[in-house]
Amino acid sequence: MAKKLGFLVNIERCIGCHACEISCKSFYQLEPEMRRRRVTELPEDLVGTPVRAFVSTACNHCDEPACKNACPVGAYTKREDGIVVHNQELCIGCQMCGKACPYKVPVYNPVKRKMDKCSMCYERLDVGQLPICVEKCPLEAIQIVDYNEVQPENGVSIVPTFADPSITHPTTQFILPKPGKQTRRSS
Amino acid sequence: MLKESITRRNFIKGSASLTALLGLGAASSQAPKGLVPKAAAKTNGKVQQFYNACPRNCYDTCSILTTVEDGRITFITGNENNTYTKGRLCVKGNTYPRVVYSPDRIKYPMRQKGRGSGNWERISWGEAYTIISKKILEIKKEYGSTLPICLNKYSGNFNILNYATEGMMSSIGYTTRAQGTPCDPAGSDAQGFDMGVAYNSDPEHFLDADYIILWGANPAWTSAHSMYFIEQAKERGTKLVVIDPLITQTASKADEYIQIKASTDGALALGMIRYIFDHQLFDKNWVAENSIGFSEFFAYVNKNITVEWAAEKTGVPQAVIERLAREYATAKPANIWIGFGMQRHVNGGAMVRAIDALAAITGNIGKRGGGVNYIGGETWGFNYHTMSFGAPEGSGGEADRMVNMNNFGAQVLAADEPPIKMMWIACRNPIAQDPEPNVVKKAFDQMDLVVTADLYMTQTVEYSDIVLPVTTPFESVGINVSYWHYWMNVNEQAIKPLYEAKSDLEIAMGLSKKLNELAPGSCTFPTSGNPKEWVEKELNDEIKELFNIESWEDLRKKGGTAKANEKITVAWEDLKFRTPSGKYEFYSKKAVEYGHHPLPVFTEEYKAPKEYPIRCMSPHWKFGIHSQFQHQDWLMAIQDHPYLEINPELARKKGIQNNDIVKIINETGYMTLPAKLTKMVPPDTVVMYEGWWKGVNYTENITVKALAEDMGEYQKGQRGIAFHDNFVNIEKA
Amino acid sequence: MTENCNDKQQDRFELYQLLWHYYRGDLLNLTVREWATVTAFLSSKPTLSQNDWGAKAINLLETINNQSLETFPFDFNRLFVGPNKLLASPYESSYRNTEGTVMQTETLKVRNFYYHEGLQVDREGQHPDDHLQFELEFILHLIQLAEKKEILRLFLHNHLLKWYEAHCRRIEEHSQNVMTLAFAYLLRGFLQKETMLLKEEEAALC
Repeated sequence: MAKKLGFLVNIERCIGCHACEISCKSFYQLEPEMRRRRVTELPEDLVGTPVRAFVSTACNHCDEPACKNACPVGAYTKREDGIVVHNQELCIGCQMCGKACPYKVPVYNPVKRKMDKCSMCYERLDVGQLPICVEKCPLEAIQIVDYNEVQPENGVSIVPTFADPSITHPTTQFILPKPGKQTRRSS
Repeated sequence: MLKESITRRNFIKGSASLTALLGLGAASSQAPKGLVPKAAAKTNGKVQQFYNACPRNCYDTCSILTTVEDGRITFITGNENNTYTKGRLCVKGNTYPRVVYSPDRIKYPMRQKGRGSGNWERISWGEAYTIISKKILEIKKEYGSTLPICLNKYSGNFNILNYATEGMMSSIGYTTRAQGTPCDPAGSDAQGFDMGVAYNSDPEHFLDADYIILWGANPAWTSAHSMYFIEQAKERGTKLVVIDPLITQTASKADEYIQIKASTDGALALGMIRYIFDHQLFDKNWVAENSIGFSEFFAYVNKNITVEWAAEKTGVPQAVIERLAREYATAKPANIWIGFGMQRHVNGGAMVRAIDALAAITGNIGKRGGGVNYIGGETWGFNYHTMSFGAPEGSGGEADRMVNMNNFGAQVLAADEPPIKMMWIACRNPIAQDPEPNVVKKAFDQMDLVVTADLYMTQTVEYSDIVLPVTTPFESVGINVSYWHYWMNVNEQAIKPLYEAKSDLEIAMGLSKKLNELAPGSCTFPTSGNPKEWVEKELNDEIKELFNIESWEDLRKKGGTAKANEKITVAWEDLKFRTPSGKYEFYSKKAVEYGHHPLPVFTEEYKAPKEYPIRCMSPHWKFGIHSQFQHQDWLMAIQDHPYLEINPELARKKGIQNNDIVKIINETGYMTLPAKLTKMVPPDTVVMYEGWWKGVNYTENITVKALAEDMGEYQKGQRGIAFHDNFVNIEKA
Repeated sequence: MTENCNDKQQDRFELYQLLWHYYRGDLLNLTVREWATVTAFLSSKPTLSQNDWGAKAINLLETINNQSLETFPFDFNRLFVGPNKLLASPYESSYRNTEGTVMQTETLKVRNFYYHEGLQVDREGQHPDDHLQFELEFILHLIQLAEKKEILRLFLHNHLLKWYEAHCRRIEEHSQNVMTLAFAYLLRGFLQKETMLLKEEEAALC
């Protein structure tokens, strides 16, 4: 059976430090304003008690990638293992994919005049290395999971700020933070 | 292939016009020579890797692996040979390529015509050395000593070779020094009185803790690699308690968060101690065998402290204090990490002594996975060879003169006989980082010459006469250890220094050379030397044995990073305290010597003045370490302006909404910045994160008065600053 | 080559040379009289005086006085040297990637051009290869050699002509001195002409 690779993002562990985002940016020597991974602040009442919480997202390597369907030149392919690959050689920079993606993942690189997105570091995966964001997260909060093999018991497909998963069936799952006990001063 | 001769011919041909007419020879400019014939055998595509060390003032002091292609850094990441950082860097470390290759680095020595005018002219290193040397010699002649020359250097780069700047100063004679630290002084004195010195256990041992209290520490932002071990411990069942006035990122991860009224932590610790005494939960054997003054302390607590009182004082309900005390006293081992922020109060030292006592009575000190961890210096036993040359013969004065770094402006202005006339600033940005920045500026105004060595234009550089461009860690050689973890990291030179940057060591040698040219014998600092030879001279037999290395070169070959011998990684494992008695001292005569109560007693907090009822705290920011990194545009792309965190309740009272511009004011000054409404701060407190200076004409210290902490003189020579006892009022601007 | 063609070629050489001197910082200490010589020199170049930007530059340079001379080096340093954040970075890569990092891919591409001609920047690795000063010097190497025409065309097309406009815009935005402004106009006017020249040559080739 083919693989279904996807990110598993542990929000319980994530400290919102942005190291994933910046190490990716640095490793790929992208035009530096380009971000393939993005850390977003979540509402502070996410778990009931007020906390600082963040979620790190990249391409969700969807089962039904809207980018792929929207691309007029066939620059997108979905690999056997589920990774959605964007071939920049073929890209004409029309930005249709960016408009189609409910997560606004493909972004326009004004210098190259092409779109750009996370590749789940498939070149690294193919030689047995982990994606940069997975390897460089100081808290080990990002994993790659083969969702055909493993169903994380507390994994969920939706968090606030994240688009409705029923549209494109993203593979990314999240582990939500558990509320801790708080003794706050009454005012 | 083009030859030099062709080059010349071209220019001679062209020079019929302007070049000759205006006398513009190739040598007339400061510019680099230009294009030259390519060295043979040069090809693109050569990939090399080097070990570097992040030298910033940070717990984590990471070992770095740098990839260089064609002499250019292409990737900077963590060194996987290090089990503390595990090959990962924090967000700031990941921006290092940007730090090196920002077009905004200071590139050349420059002189400002009119301090603060922004009118800079480029000068050569030779000219810079000459101007500075002449001023030094002139001062020495006029005042009979070099005491009017003041060094203000601190923590911007903790590479051991950077102590060359202090060495250079010592090598010209006796000078005035900014002494002390804005960082840890009160807490370090407290641990000094209790145990002889501050000494923390290996943070990798958080995994061995049964119970962890992070007391005013926010490692999620300030020590991400420690946070990894804490999260791991948590997932294995260790309870994580965070005590903090603010819901920090770390507090957000706690099993239990306890919001305490700022500056009352000592009362909480003493309340817990009272409960532990009352319920016979203390370790009688431990205190009997390892301490002095326990009975006096026991009597003090029983007479003066109750849990009800502690609850009232701290805002923490009595039941919570009791449960916390029971849990802490019965967990084995229980680990406390005291943050530096917690002691930045007028009673900071006393509070740390109380928390130390809590750890001592429960027998948690000296145990793997336990301890009362604050800071440590066990791995810093270098030779400090760069500081060893001594004053030249015939130097006037008898010793260096100290001014308090934490009240720098006022003390420089007050210095007399002789006054201070010249300042050398390195690894520091005092105009941004000191309290009362306007007073610091006044002190600058009194100077004949201000020299600043830095990487970037800062407020301090803006107010200097001469700026000297310095190297990044990747452009020079060095060695680093941490005040927290137990690793030693090699720093190799990975690339050539960009532009005309030099390391502090090279600057010291260059200045010495010029001084000796102008006045032979006027500076004892060596005038030449290979940096690798310099760094080898830092290692002695003890430190080599401690890290099981033969040399710097050996450490490099062994993977660039080495951990100290286990015999020192559990603090006080041998229970031989470095106090006068050799025991843990609940009763400290040393404390009395420094004017304090001998016991860890309760000390009142600083009270808010009526007109300024709101506490403004300035804890550390996740995208910066003091005034470094935050201005890098990779980080500015994430957050491009400072903001003030305000509780929605306070905001409502003041008619302030999200993103409104708020004015913060007190008797020292005012500033305006946007509001961020959040429940992360209590209603009596606002928070502005430390170190933001880019794009604004203020720093968080504008309203901070030079209000002293209670301690600091014993271990650091000077008291610290009560940064968090900063009271203000706010209004919608 | 015809006489006229040689003259044109000589003019191009001299203008590149003047700009090279400017970006090396050689013109920072000229006197008012020497500046008059420079202005006269520029007025004698029809490529410039007949171009709007060139004419504007010459007009500005004619207004030079002691005060503008005095602030010229400070403004020059603010724009191109430091120690502040550079207001008009003289490094190509600052314009070719949007956040302006130096020593990037573009720098290496420029380095490859130098290597191809057996050249390198002195103390390579310390000074980014794509400083305008070096690019101009490289052009000076190529311009008088007929056999290097194609290399020169490629270099101009792939590099200098790709970024000078952005550079000039930054100068125009931040200049506080007539001379730095005049040189932005000069650079713009002259390189516009160069762009046209390349297009003509390309058309002729077709």
